[in-house]
Amino acid sequence: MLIARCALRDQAAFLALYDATSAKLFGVILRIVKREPWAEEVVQDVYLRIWDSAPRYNATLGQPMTWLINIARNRAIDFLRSSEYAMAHQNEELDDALPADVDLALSAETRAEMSRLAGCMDLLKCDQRDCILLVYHLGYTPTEVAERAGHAIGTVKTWLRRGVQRLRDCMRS
Amino acid sequence: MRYDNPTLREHLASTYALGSLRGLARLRFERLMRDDAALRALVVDCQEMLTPLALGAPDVAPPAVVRSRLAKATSSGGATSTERGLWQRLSSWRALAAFNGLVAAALLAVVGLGLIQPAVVDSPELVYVGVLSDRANRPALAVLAYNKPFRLSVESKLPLSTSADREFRVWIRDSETDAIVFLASIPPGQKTLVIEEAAWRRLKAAKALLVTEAMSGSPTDAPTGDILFEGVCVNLKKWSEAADPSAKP
Repeated sequence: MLIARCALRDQAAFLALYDATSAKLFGVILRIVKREPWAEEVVQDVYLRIWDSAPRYNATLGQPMTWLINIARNRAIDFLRSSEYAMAHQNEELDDALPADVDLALSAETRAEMSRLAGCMDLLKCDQRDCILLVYHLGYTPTEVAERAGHAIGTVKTWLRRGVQRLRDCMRS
Repeated sequence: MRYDNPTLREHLASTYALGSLRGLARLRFERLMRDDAALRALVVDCQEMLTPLALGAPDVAPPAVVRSRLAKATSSGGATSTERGLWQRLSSWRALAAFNGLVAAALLAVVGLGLIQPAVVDSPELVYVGVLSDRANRPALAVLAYNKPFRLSVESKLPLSTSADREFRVWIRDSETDAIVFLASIPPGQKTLVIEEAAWRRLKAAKALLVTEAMSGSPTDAPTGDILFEGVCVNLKKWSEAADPSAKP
């Protein structure tokens, strides 16, 4: 509903949407870009994209939150590949530890769905699970995962493909 | 590539949903999705499945200044952009280019604000600007044409890469005939190229610029394959003179 009102250039609706979702999107972005000033830049761009794209949003693009999260993730990942990031990142050692604070059962709103996904994630082999988390949460490319894990890129791509396939099968069952 | 293969479709959909498709591969896939509802549904299905992973990340409130900036940027109710530097200017121009009559005003404002410095004698002068969008109408590429000497510079928001045996090609759309005419090839890995005077003359007749991808060495009499990017071509010099006739020599 708020997105539909944004499409009508309703600024109050846009700011209400921002108030309702920005902490979630900022958290997602911060996890990928790792530095608050960068996340600040990306989140601002994300909301302007949401404002500009609202007229084109429809149900075939998924649930509203899914749509918002995907805009945020894509922009954060694009930022990781930007020259600005590359220059800033040159002499920095960043903590690339796998997220330890992902609690797949915290959100009351989506508790059932989240715990179902958590159950399915538990069924994956460790390598598959880690690959998916590194790519999805931290914005790694399969090549970067391969370098980090010391495996061939083909192996990593296979883990990703099979991991997602197993997740899909599990979620459908 | 056979995009009707179910295994390949599922693989591409999940790769896209994970965020692993990059650059032109992502643009191609997004174009494919636009014309293929079943593929789009496959992607959304995968995104919906993975969304709880993102929802599991802790909430972090952004600094209050972000909200203030957004409120200011959206106060006029129109489309907007936060791209910085060159892209900030180009996005604004592209948005305004949808309303041809406003292009001049927009560019004049940009020049007037000093975002593009007037040419200094004996220094390269930016004369033509093309702000090219992908098929989703997102500004993706800028083609800047300088004289003294004649050259093209390509600014891309995404890594512009292709295989060693392929190249990107810039074309003009003629303002009178609407014909698409070859302008120049961009060799792999290159962002700036010197162009001949004949190509510069063709630019003068351009109302739009297009970019395609083709096998190196293949004929250039007409574009082959998809038009990856397209956008209006603006003569900055003309706009400057229109704004300030006294500036004419």
